Amino acid sequence: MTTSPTLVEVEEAVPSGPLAPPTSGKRVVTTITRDKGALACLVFLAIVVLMAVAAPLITKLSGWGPYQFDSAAINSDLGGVPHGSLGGISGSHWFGVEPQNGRDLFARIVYGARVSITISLSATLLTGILGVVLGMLAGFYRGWVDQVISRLMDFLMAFPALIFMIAILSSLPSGNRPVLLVVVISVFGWPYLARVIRGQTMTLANREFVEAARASGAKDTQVVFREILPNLRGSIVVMTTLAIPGFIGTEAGLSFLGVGVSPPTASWGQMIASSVSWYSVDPMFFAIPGAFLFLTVLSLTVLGDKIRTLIDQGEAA
Amino acid sequence: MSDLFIVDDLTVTFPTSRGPVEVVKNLSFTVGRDDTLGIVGESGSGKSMTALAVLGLLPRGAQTSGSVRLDGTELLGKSERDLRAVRGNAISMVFQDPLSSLNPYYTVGLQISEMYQTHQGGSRRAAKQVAIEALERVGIPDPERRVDHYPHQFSGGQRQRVMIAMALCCSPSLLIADEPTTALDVTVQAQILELLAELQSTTGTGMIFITHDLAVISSIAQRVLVMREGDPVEYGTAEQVFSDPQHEYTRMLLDAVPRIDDEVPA
Ligand SMILES: Nc1ncnc2c1ncn2[C@@H]1O[C@H](COP(=O)(O)OP(=O)(O)OP(=O)(O)O)[C@@H](O)[C@H]1O
Ligand SMILES: [Mg+2]
Repeated sequence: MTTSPTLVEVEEAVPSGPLAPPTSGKRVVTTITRDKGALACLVFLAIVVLMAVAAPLITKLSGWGPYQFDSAAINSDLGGVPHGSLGGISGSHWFGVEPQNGRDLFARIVYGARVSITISLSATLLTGILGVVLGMLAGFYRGWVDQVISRLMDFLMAFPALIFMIAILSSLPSGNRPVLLVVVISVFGWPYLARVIRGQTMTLANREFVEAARASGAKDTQVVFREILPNLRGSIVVMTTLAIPGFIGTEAGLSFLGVGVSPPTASWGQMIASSVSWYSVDPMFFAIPGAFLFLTVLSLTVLGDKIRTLIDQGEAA
Repeated sequence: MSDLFIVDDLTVTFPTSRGPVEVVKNLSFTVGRDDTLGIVGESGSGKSMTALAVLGLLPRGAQTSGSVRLDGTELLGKSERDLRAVRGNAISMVFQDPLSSLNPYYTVGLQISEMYQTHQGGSRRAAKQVAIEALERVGIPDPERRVDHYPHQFSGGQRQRVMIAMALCCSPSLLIADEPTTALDVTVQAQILELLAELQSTTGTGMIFITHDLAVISSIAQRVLVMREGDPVEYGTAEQVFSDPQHEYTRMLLDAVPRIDDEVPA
């Protein structure tokens, strides 16, 4: 937000009642940086995002690329178990190597972060657009528009989405898997946001400032974009932040099931899937991507919850 | 005398599951330039529906018949687009609750100047100047600084002043005030009434003042229309209605009000 209200001395101020000012972005940031747990989550996420953004640079520093085989790091006599303890963690392979082919785990984690972040953020963006636009249309125009959109939402929410995703992703050509993943995840994801937006739009559309705007000659588009949309900002921020970890999980899950991003592209879910058969001989191969997935989802959820609390307080204050 | 605003035989009907319901029935009244009409009635008597019908803002499904003329131009049946040009420009409205009539996300200056630009065009800077002048006119101290404040930084009475500033910024010929003082406490009420009366006498705007409080009407209106369940019960000059109410219902309303002096306490 660019125009956060500055606190100035207020002449004969009254409690703000239903007219609460927006929670300022600044306040969210200061509160989170004061909370140790939230700050830890933020730092961890910053690291993951940095890994994703600077992946090629980082792997150049660490010395191994994600697709490079290092046959010296594995013991081919033992079926490809990494040399050394802890899955081959060493000075040159910071997180060890993949059994059997010796690809550097650190590099694959870094590139996997790229996949997770790109797919989940794109899915969030697409879900956000679909959810907000369709939810507002339904809530604002009511009538048959609402009927159509609401039935579609009911249908999509009642649909066994996972089975459908597996079916559709495995039957379509794997040409552009990431894009397909984003589209499929979003198609099933938007109704959850749209449902909330629809309800809030209905409430807002009956608020007096909307009527006042109409009474002063505002067009429908002005009412929607200038009066209603800004007041939905809080919910949109909260819902989408809390959706990101879900999408990361979904991507990992689908990749785990073999219908996500296709090899050799690295993905955390895929790494976990291939670690299953090595679980007893090389537990680190499972533990490292598992920990990254777990911590990323946890951090996002904790932060999302924090932001939700802050915005709720802001609206109730 | 050519009246500014003439409503003739206005009827508003809602289709309901139990058949059509007339919430405003055969209403006729006129408002002259520089004149105030008070519309009084209990809750649910159709006062707000009358105001909304005039602006073409009734909820979906409502049907209107009759005639509403401003300066000789018929408003009923005008296209949505033509009506938008009237709303806020030739006829503007002040609502009951100043707490919720302003959008919490924008500064009051932006809300006023945007409305001005919608109708009158002009540059952003000119519109902001208009907003500052409008705030000054309604008695907001230090308007140059206050234009950049958000609604929550104003008190209830000040917000209603802001609403009035906004309603008057395009110099409308008719101002409809729908219970503009109900949400305010008594002393602030008196100040707002005084402000409205004063602004009206300087700008020559016609005003429809809706309230369920006869005491308020007595201090501001020249003519009074009493409504009950959509029916016009009594219509006449304020003196007539107050000194010699013709209808039982009006007498009942008058008895319910503790008599106060006609002057607004300063
Ligand atoms: N959508 C609708 N469908 C059917 N009837 C309606 C609808 N909206 C309002 N009404 C009815 O119209 C009547 C008049 O309502 P209106 O809002 O004009 O009352 P009012 O005089 O302004 O009351 P108040 O003093 O409480 O504001 C009420 O009896 C109400 O039940
Ligand atoms: Mg009303």
